[in-house]
Amino acid sequence: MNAIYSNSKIIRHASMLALTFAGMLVGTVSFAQAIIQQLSGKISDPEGRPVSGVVVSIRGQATVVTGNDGKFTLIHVPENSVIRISHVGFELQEIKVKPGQTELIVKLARRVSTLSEAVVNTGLYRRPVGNFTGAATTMTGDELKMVNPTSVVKALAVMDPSFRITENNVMGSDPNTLPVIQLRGANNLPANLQGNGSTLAPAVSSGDIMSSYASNPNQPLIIIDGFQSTLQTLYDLDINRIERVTLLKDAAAAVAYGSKAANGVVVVETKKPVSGRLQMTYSVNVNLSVPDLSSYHLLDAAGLLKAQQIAGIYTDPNGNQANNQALQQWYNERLYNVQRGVNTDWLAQPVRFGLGTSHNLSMSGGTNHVRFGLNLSYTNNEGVMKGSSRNTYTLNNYLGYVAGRFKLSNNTTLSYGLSNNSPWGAYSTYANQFPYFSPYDSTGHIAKIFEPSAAALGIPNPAPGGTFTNAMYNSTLNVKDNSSYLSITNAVNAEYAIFPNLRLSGGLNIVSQLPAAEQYLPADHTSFVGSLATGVGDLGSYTQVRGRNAVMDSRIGLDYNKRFGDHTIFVSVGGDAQSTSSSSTTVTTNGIPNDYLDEMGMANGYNLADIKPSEGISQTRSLSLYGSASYNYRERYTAEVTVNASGSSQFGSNNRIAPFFAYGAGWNIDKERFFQGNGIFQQLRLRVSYGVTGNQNFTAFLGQPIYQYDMTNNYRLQLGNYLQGYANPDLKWQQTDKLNIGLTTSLLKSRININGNYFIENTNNLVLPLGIEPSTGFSTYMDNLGATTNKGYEVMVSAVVIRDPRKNFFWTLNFNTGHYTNTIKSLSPAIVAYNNANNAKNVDQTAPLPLYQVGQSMTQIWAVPSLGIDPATGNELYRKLDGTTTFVWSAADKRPVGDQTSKFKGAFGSNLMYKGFVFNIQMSFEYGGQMYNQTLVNLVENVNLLNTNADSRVLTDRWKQPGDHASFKALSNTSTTNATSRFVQDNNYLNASSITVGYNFPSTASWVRRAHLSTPRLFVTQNDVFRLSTIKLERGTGYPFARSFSFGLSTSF
Amino acid sequence: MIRFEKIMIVSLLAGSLTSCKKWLNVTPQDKVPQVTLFTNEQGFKDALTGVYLNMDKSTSGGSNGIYTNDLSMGILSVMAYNYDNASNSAAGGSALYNAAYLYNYNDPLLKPEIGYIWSALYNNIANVNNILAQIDAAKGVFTADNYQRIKGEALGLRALFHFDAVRLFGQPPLTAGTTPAIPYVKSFTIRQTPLYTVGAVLDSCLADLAAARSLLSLTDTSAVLGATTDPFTSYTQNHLNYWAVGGLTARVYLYAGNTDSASYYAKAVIGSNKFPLITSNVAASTNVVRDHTYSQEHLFALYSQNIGAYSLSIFELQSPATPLVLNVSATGKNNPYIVPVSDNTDWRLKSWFDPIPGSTNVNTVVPSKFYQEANLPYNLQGLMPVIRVSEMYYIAAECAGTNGDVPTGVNFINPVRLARGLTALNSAGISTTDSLFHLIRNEYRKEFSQEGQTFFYYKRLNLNLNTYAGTPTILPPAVFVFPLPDAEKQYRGL
Repeated sequence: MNAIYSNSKIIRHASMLALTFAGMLVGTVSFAQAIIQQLSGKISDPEGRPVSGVVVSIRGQATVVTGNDGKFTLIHVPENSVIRISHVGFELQEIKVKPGQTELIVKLARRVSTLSEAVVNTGLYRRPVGNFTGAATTMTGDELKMVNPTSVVKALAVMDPSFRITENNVMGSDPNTLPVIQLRGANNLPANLQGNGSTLAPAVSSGDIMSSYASNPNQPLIIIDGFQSTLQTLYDLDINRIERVTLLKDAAAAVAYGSKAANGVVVVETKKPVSGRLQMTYSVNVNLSVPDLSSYHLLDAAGLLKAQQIAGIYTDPNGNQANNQALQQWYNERLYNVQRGVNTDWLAQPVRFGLGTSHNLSMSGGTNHVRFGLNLSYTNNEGVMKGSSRNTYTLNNYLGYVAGRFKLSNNTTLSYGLSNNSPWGAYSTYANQFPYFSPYDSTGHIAKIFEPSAAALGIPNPAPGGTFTNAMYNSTLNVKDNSSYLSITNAVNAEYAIFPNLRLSGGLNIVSQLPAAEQYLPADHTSFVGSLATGVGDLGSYTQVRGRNAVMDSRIGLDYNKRFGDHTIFVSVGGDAQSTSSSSTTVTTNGIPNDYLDEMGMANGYNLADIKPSEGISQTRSLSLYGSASYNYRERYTAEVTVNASGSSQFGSNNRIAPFFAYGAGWNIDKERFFQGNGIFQQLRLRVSYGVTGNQNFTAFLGQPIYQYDMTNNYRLQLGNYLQGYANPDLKWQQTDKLNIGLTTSLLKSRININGNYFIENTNNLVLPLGIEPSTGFSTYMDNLGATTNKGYEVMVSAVVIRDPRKNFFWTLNFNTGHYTNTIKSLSPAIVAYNNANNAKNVDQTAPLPLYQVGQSMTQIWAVPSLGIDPATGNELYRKLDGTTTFVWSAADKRPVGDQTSKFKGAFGSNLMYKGFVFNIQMSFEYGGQMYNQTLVNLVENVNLLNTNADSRVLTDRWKQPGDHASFKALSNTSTTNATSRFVQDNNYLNASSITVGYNFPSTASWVRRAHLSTPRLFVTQNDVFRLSTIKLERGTGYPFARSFSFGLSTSF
Repeated sequence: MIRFEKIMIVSLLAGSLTSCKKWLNVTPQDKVPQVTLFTNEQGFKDALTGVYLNMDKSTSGGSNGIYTNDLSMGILSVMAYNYDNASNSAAGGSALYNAAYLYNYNDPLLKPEIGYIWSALYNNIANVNNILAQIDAAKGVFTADNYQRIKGEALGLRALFHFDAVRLFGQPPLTAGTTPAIPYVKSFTIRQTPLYTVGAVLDSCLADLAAARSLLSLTDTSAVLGATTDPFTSYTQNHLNYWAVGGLTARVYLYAGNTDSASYYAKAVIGSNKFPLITSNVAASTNVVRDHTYSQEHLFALYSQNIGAYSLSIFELQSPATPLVLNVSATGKNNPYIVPVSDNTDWRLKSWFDPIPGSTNVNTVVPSKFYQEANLPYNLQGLMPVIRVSEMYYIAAECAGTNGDVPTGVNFINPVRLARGLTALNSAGISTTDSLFHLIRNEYRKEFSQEGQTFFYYKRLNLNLNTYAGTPTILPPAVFVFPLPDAEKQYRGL
């Protein structure tokens, strides 16, 4: 540092001398010139329309910006000086002012954006695509918004085939459930096998950096404006603020992040204000969510009663006459309900059309020296369950200062998020409800209990299935169930251009977040029905969670580039130090008699079962140093080397610093002489990279011996503690070796652009438990044991069908697909024991338990092969491992019967622009994966008709008499259906992810001018419009899926 | 000037490199890293307290408490046939006791529970070993006699755990020979410790006990304390104290067949007069202050808040509807309480068992030794005796008998009989060692009901359970040997 400084001092002196000399020279020259008092002009695009915001400058002197009419005025312009006209998307023009000229009319030429000019931003350094050998995809915020105006994450999944969201069939479209994301597949076994989860605090609003990564060890690193962030921040980020998103996939692109790079990196840049006149942009988006219940096919009232009767609910299994009579009375009671027309559509009760709005107002402006930006956004995302919503408020303030070679900026973000969970409870409660119960009592009020008691009806036995409560009743109470966070982020960045081609930059990011959650269930809540007998002390409960997360992140970087002759060099070195801490406290109190006393202090005390406050604290520190150099010869050959040294408090004390590296090479074949003049290919570029990256998404303290206090017991009033296990001082980062071969080409006059990548990722040193003899005192020991391999490819094609700038007519088609296979290469013996334990469970494997075997994929479905339902007996016939058939299910016969990972995932679409109209459609698909149709098993065969409703196929498709070729067992067969291949189905689907229709009003329109607007746009987007699937699955059991319609309007003024 | 700058740069660089490593050292706040814990006396106290807590409900698994349930009122008492209906009782909410009654070690409930007992004992050993590994380096942080106390108790506990492990998983001492039994782990290490023979384990136990005894003799042994102002030195009987180590030494010597030493240490404890036998029937006083376990006689009793819950789970009358019970009729297996008839005034029968309310069957009684009454005074709450002074009398008597001195043997039995509401026996009436041993056997069956020691008594003498405990079937000779857990065998290649 100091050496550089002293060197730069000398150079600075020299350069100042040179500058002074040059200034004198310029001064002398200009002295000889005459001055034009005023030069006015107009800038227009190739179609002749005025362009606003164009920077017009006299080199080294004044700068002005064109207004809405494209006009500008410069004063005191020296004759023969060069006017420089620049604007994003247009070619730079430099015009020499002729003596006596007072008017300047310029038509700008549109810049044809070819890939070689683009710059890849890795978050740590930027590099022109030509000098970059890694695999990265860059998407602009506008492109993403076109696909999904409300969710960045969903838009990314459509835009890039390697970005996958694991579909959550339970939580559906719950706005308060974060998605699970992966880039290029999973390298890691689930968190619970890695000693994660239990030692961490519950992810309060998921705002804590550590737990957010530890809970999904396959989650890519998320970098927002140069600093590590959380998925929640990305999820809540207003899409209007996004400038561009870059996905870094291979080692060459991501290795600068060292031990955090193995899962890939998502780099997000937010919009920065540009200098010029104060500009205000307002956009509003109205979002309508419509519940998608089309996947449900439940029995109606009459059907259910019939099914219950066939299943023997209303007959005594032992043939007891008295019981039979009582059950018959209950049957009649319910039949009466059916006959008088009670047929409640329970699915429709808790859902609504969610009407959400989001507003974004941004102001930006400034001079060449000072730029400022203010961004206010408010999003109210209403879920389709009544009462569920997510509201976010964000205030972002940017202040930038430029003085010569020095730049300083400060970016402050204040955000508040509030998630309300529906007081109606889980959606499954409603799917289970009997349709012959009416939610209202005879007086028209919402009933709490459906049926009168046995005593009231004069029936000797209680109702089959017990007392049924109405979950709807809770919606009339003062139930509170929400979580929230308040977060302040401040980032200071400074940059100093020591030379034009040597840049020193540094930054400090401080995040402080206060997450909170509360849940209040009043005494009258249906969950307390039946607990009156245990004492009033337990009725009504209030739970409060309070947390505190903090992140401090600082970085420094030095970038150098130089071109001499045929050689171009880019060098970047830098470092990053990060410290995170999080804590949370949970307190539950019980015994709140009145509905309106919804405060913790109103409670009678703690639960009778000794519930005490709980606390979770986690703290980490990491350090990372990187260096990256790229060399290019005659724009043909590129070589790139990146190294990184990462240190983390999570590593064992003997392995605190980890080295990582990547090499890459690129060959621009199109620049070769033998290739030139080729009429087909305009660009052909081959890239190869190999490198080693790391992953540290595991629990903080496996590397040192830790004592934990026993907080539930005392020994004669003393507290005791005990060892958590053997520390592994040699514990290492998980290591992923990544090989990537990429080909980029554009052909047929750049009408077709193809970008393809083939990759092999080998992960070693997975942190897994190693079984040890229990006489050592512990049964497992965390060590680097497992290995997995992911292989795959991804292809992205875009084709310009029509490109007619004169008519302003553009039509582009796009297609992308990705494929990967996952194989487990090695496992620890403890995982084998885990498998054996799962295999040994001979009872109740109603869902296929995960089994991990070397040579298989992690997402393999293990079940017993089924030969179907025997037409003679109605029982299921299985094939044993030795090939013989049996009616007896045994866990030992389980085999791999399907893989949940689809063979292909991708999207295709079309984007049409004509005049101001925009029409965009994107379809996403998956092909070649399987799924265990869990909801079908649960609602057809393992259904307990005693207390839940069932799928209508219970009546139609189950075996009834000998000779029936049915797909399901007999209704009277109450044996549990365990994991069988019969329910493994192909999971191929085609989803209309988004359809967008928009119109950009011409800025020349008279009303636009009168309203002083500049580029008003109106957009209508429909997401998840329809879905064609080979699997008939009841989707969204805990929370329904939704289709959404968005109406967006934005304008600048 | 330039030189000064250079020095600055070098020292800054050097400083930042070392501080780098320091900066990456993060200590968690809800847990304590070992390096922090053992910097003060309280850390050692807490670690030792953790071992006592872990003797109850171990962190290494198990559905029950270890010393407070499995090795006392639970499995071991079932196996010693303390209860008459264990074959069909639903006590404990599972079929665990049905399997234990049949010594069915492969039962899917009993097998893992035995594994947990093993894991819990060795987990405690690991914790103790870590204290022992750290304590000498930190000798300077201790005040008063706490260094000797903690190290002495830790050594004693290490012996206790290994001794109980070998009593469970090793061959009976009479048939043990040179068969490898269990590892004797003396250091905190992930490396495998080889299996020792029963004899070698017992020798190691005695060595640890001798070391423990000499350390604890340096502590304040002037009195057996109850509650004092210092929580760590309060409740002497709830720590493996000086006398408890002596009592344990006697127990180990007897198990090893060294009657002279066993007798010496047993008499030393008796002679200390710190643990006087009770003198009145606790059942006669009101329930509120009923000292069920005769707490003044405990050399070492474990304290646990959970004992009441364990007792309820096994002996509660409401649910399960079929608790474990005793049949004390003349033909029942637990007849020593009333046979001979002159012995039916035994205070133990009155104070440890209650009739089933509403039942007319006076011979079927439910154990209430560990029932925790609502108003039980704090000092009597949650006690599970591990070593009693009465055992010292029995050891002295048995040693005398083995040496052919029957009258001395009878003289050691009589003080306990008197303290149990029975009459002193005339040594002239007990003429043979066999009749003395019969007397002692009956004492073990009565005295250690629900405390587990009866099982170890049978095993030590390799008695035929069919003859002496009245098992329904003849059990194979290896019945006393708990199988090593599968994981242990697997990683040892056995």
